[in-house]
Amino acid sequence: MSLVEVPEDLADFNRWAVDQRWSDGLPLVPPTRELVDDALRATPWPADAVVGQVPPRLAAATVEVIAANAVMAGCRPSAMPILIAAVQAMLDPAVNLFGAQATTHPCAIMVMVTGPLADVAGIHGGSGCFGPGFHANASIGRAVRLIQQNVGGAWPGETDRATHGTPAKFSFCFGENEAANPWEPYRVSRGFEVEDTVITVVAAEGPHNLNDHVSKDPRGVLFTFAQTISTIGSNNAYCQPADFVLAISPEHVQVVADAGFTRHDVQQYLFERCRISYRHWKLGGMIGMLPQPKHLEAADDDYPVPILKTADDAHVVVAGGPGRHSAWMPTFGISRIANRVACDPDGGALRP
Amino acid sequence: MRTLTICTDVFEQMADLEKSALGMPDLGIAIIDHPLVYRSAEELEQIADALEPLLTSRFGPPGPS
Repeated sequence: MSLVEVPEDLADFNRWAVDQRWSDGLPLVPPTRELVDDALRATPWPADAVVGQVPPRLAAATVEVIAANAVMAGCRPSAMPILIAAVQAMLDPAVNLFGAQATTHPCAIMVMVTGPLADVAGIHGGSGCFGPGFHANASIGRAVRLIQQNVGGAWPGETDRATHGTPAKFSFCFGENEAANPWEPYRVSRGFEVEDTVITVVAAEGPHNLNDHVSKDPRGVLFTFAQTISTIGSNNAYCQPADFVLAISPEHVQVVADAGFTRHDVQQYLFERCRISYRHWKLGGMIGMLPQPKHLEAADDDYPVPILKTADDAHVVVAGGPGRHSAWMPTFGISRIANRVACDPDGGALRP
Repeated sequence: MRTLTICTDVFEQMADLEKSALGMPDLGIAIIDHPLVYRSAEELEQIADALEPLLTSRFGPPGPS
């Protein structure tokens, strides 16, 4: 990375930045030496440390480059430990970032942050957590997108071939609503320590509403979820194994938890009931494009084709505020979830 | 075996970027019309046959089978 002279006037800088193709279409904060240094002071990682190479261009995402994109996105310095972990996670081969960058599918890099550093950074997991309005959510998600574009080289309409794109590509970052969560935190359910800050990343579509306003027991709530998720129009119907994310709202989780359901019970229900009849499954979607599980060779028209290979592939997290809406994030299907603990360069978990 | 990298025209810019990133700027890529995914077996054979002159110019004629 090098220092360049840029127009001093903010409006001129932004016109210039658009010409340089640094922008996602919205105004940027100039990444001055002072602001980038402020960001670098918020992490124990050295500025020249290479976190990874971002496809398709395979340019190096150094800590300093991450900081510059963080500043441009409007991040506060407290975002840096989270951003570094988010970049590590999205470069996990399981996420298939190259595929996600190039695809015609409308996937964004979804970033979920749970743990103490989420609170320090101000990441919001309650009402309105998917946006707009919450600075940390908006700016961290935006920084991830700018890194994909400015470091990875995925430019919409050229190397990023998403047919429509998605508003989620501007920013897609949220937290867990731990205060409303009757179960263990998501990160603990996945084997991490409660003191860890875990960044969870996957290439996913923007949230789809799961609207159940009437059910007073799990049967209705979970059936609504399963019915909505069981669609041939998502990659999850044809790509196995694949993850999806379900952000269950406080009111919905209260219904299921009051009936004694654990998170695993919800996952198990989704595994059993998120199914599509073979009769419908074979009519369109992505039929024939990918190798299919052997058992489908024995399918008759009524055979319930599973969307999930295992219950654990349903990632259930409590998020959102009051209201009888939950949200489902279908994924790119050939992108798996990656979890990273926010850590120092030696791998030691960072604590506030 | 003679092999050729094939890319549909919609992804040509991505292919150019990636071959440079991987240190293979001179990698020849055959560009064909998008899309490929729902072509019939017959259409795929026609596309492959149309690429034969390109293979021959690059690798010479096919050897004995």
